[in-house]
Amino acid sequence: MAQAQKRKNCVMKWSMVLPPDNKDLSQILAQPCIVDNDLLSNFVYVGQAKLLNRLLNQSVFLSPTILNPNELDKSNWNLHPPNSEFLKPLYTVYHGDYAKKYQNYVAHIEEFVGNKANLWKPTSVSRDELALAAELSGKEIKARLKQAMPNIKGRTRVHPGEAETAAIAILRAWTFLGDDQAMIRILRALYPSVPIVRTCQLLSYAANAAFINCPEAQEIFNERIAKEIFFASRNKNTEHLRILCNPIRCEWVTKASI
Amino acid sequence: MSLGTRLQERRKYLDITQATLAKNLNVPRELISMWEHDRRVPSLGQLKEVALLLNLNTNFLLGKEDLKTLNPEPIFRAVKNQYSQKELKRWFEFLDNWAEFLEEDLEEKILKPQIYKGFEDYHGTTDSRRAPNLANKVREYFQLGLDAIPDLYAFFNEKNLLVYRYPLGSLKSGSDAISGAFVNHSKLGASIFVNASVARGRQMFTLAHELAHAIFHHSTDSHVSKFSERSKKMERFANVFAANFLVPAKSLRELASKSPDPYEAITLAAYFKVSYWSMLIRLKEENIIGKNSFDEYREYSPNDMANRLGLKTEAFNSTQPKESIYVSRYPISVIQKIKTAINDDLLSPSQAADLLNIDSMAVKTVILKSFDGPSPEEKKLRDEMEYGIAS
Repeated sequence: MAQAQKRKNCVMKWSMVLPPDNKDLSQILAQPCIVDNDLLSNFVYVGQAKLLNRLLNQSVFLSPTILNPNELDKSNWNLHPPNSEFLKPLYTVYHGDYAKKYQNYVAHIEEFVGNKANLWKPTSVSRDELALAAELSGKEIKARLKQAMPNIKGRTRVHPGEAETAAIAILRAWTFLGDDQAMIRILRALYPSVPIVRTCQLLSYAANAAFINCPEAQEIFNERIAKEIFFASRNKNTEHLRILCNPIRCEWVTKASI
Repeated sequence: MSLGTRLQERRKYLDITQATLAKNLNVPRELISMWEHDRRVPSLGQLKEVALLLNLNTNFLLGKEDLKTLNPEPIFRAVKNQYSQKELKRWFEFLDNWAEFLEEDLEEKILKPQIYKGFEDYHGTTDSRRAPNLANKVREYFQLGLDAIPDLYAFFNEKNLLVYRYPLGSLKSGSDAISGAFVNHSKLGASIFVNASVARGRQMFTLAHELAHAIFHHSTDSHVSKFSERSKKMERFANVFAANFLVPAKSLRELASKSPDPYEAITLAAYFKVSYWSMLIRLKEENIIGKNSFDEYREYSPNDMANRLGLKTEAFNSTQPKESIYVSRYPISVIQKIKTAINDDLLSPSQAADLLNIDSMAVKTVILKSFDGPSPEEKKLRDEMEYGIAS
């Protein structure tokens, strides 16, 4: 009882983002889904790329700045390092100092990139998508965001990979699977009809739908992703997102209550 | 005018072939052709690289703005090597983005380094005969004493001088390779680029050399230091300054024996954290060794001697492979600012990755750690960045 009271005092409820017509998550995930580098890395690095595929019942789409299929041949990397955001860590393993740092992840990354299980599909950008992506990652976005959120603080322009992913989701009415808070802020403020689904949501959905059980979801998110890799906290590092069980849910908790 | 046409016109204006552009972008030449004929559209990542290489703004390529050439072009005309040019442009781009981040995103007042204050009377000096005395004055002014400077990178960090290091290839005799560059950024003030391909001792020399420019030639907008131009007056001044700044004559005379052998020379080089070659030159300049000894000692291998004496060889070796200069290309003050901004919810890891031109996994696993505190890797990074501290 004391624990429940403590949780009630300390935690803030975190709600799923739903589009205006309240489609449930399974419907949202049934649409074509394009993934940002953050969410993709979360699933791939901990060996759960196939779980993502099972949840969506389809391959995920990846924008060319995230993963360019023309850069997969490692034998070229000595002369032509990859520009794809998702491949850069792998490059630092083979041609830099990070072999030891990423040793637990290399096999998972290689397997995903090899795509034998058809887990991902590349997509190219149209001229309009490129123009929108450039706007989202440029200085101009600040003025637009300020109009919608006058008290906004911090950096507004986003990484090109995020911008490109979001531009495709916006213009094709796809679902955006991502965790980058800066991009999510822009989408919520300026493109609220774009469905956004985050890692924690997906894993709690997976547990609710019995693809995995709740302790497994907790192990994947709370331990492997949040602690071992990184998951952004909020309120100056005082609140951390965690999967909780009974009932299965995502909640922001304070460090003290973990 | 379409994107393809703008791209083609700009490329031709700069007299760059499709093959050269393709090579610098790591794409097939045919793809450049397809872009120029509007049969394919580049990704945003590729578009930004094209803009960097062609020295223009992405919005021009997209037809949203007029052409605005970026970066002071004279500095790039002095650099023939395309790879070096690209990396220098990337450095300039970082400086502009960093200034924007501080001023507009964090709403902080930028404090330009005032390292030349106290030496205004000597501004514009290029007489290398005055360099040894001025080197001593600078040491005295900054209370550095006469001993080996323990950590030149830390000194620059403390003085708010941004130092960026990146591998640009070795300095072979007669080559066009760059040892360093100095720029007087309009918002950030004096900023320095160091070629990280060379041995640590040589990097220290470059730092001291660029310090001379920052103090005595600070009204120059930008400048590259090329190995092939060491005979030019301003370069010669900076070289003599650097040699005396790193190895003060008084200190050297006190430490060196009457007739030092090569092993003593390498020990002195390790003590002052300079290259073996620099130490031989200093010993000869101070008449501690003669020309015959100098010619003889330069044939010795510094690595072999260092190994035999059990000295660290980092000062004498060319550094790690270029790809390992990744996060550590930035000064610790930049990394700390990034980490604080992320923890304060003012910057996401992806935005930090974009700002630093690294991947977001490196931001998360090297720069940041979860709420458990600094990782051993982060500590190692700090140690690596502070020259002289064992890692």
